[in-house]
Amino acid sequence: MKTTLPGLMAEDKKVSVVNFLGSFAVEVFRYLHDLFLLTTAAASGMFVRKRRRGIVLKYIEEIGLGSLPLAGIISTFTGMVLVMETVSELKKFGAAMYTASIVSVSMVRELGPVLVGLIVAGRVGAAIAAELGTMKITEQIDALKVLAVDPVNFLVSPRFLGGLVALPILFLIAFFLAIGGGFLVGVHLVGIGPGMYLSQTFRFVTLKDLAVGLLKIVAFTTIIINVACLEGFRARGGAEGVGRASTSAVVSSFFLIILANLVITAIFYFF
Amino acid sequence: MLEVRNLTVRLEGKTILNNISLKVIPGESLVIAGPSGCGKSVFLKSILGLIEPTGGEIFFEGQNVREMTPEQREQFHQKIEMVFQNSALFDSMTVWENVGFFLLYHTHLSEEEIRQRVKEALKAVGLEGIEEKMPEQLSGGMRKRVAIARALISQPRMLFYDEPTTGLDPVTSKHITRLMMEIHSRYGTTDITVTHDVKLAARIAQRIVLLGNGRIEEMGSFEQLRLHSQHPLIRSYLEAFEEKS
Repeated sequence: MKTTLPGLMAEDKKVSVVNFLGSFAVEVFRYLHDLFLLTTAAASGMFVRKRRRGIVLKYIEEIGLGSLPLAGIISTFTGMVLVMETVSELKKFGAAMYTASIVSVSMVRELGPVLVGLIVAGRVGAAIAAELGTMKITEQIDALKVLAVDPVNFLVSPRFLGGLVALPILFLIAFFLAIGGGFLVGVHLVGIGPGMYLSQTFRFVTLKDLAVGLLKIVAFTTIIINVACLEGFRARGGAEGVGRASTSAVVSSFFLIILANLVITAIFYFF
Repeated sequence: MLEVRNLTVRLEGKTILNNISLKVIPGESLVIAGPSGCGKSVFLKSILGLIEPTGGEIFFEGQNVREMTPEQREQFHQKIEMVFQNSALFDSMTVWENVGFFLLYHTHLSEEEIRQRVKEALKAVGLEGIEEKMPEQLSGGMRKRVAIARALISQPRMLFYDEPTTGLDPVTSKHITRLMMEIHSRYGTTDITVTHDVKLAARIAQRIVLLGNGRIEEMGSFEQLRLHSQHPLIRSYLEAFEEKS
């Protein structure tokens, strides 16, 4: 009868855990390395003159205008909810008038960029990964190379440029819609005077806050577009592979957006 | 014109091509045959740089392809075009944008001039009046012809065909075979065709290379192989060919 010593089993488990963690770390490192290379290539591709006419405008429309209804509704409702949640707490300290300030500062620095980033990652990131994944599997990307066209310049750079134009605008619109939603609740339900609400809204929002918000949205755009394109380029194995690429694009973008948000917030908090 | 020396390709730990050496003579029509998965398409894709070879050298017009600068590689790609197995038409573009893609991207010709060139290229492959259609509106044979027109528009010196008749009905296969022969004689291109369609190979090949186990197992004209080869795969191909004939 075969017997296994308990000590050896524990040793085996330890080795397999170390192996798993090691290979996982290598995979993550490789992924980030590929993402970095793609991002730098796509950024330099933005300055290439050879480009399909009107293609950047098309992507601005697809990424920005296409996401506007969803981002608009979610931001407006978030602004309303924030006012309701905040005012009930601030009333306890007799500071209800600061509700508008808290809403505007949190929307411009935190919630606005993160909300817009996550919405666009879910809507646009999945679509880009699916489109490029299909192109990869049906050899359209190989066809581009054979026709002496760099797929990164042709497929990634215009989307990246379109995203960099569209998302900051979308973020600003979402910010104002959230303020509008908060204003409606604050003035009509809570009873804060309209003049007071508006003056409090912009009283504590500084240029630095706006810069932080814009920096975050630029970082998130970089993540969303390049992660989606990278997942598309890595797709393999037919329709199932395209599905996997879309899912990975959304999951990886969500994770990296939250991580980037933490890093940027920490940098501005400590320095 | 094209010379491959000791080409080796390993993918996911498996050796697909093992020390392949081959010289392609200008103006010839070479067919690469072999069982499925023997590395026929990998061979074409390695030459074009779509798959990075593990070892060996590829020379095109005296230049080492693997050592080319990006600019040289762009020029290299302008001289060799490929018709992919599933045509690989850009499905977000119309037929005219697909066929004129090379000119739209690499030249400063006006749209009118490009449209005219596209019309001529489509006429050369027997298609007219489909410029505004999308690829999804075309049949398999039409897609293949559009792909050939797209490859022709840059006036390449070499044409690679990857399984050009796979998935087509016998009549369409015959039309495509005839079209390939016409193009070869009219434009004087050097062709490499990957196929396991014996009928196609018999009609177009001046030389046939049989790949198997990652190596060149047999090489010669169709007649030479028919008369002298004892290779089991060649014999079974020939039996199938004679049965069909």
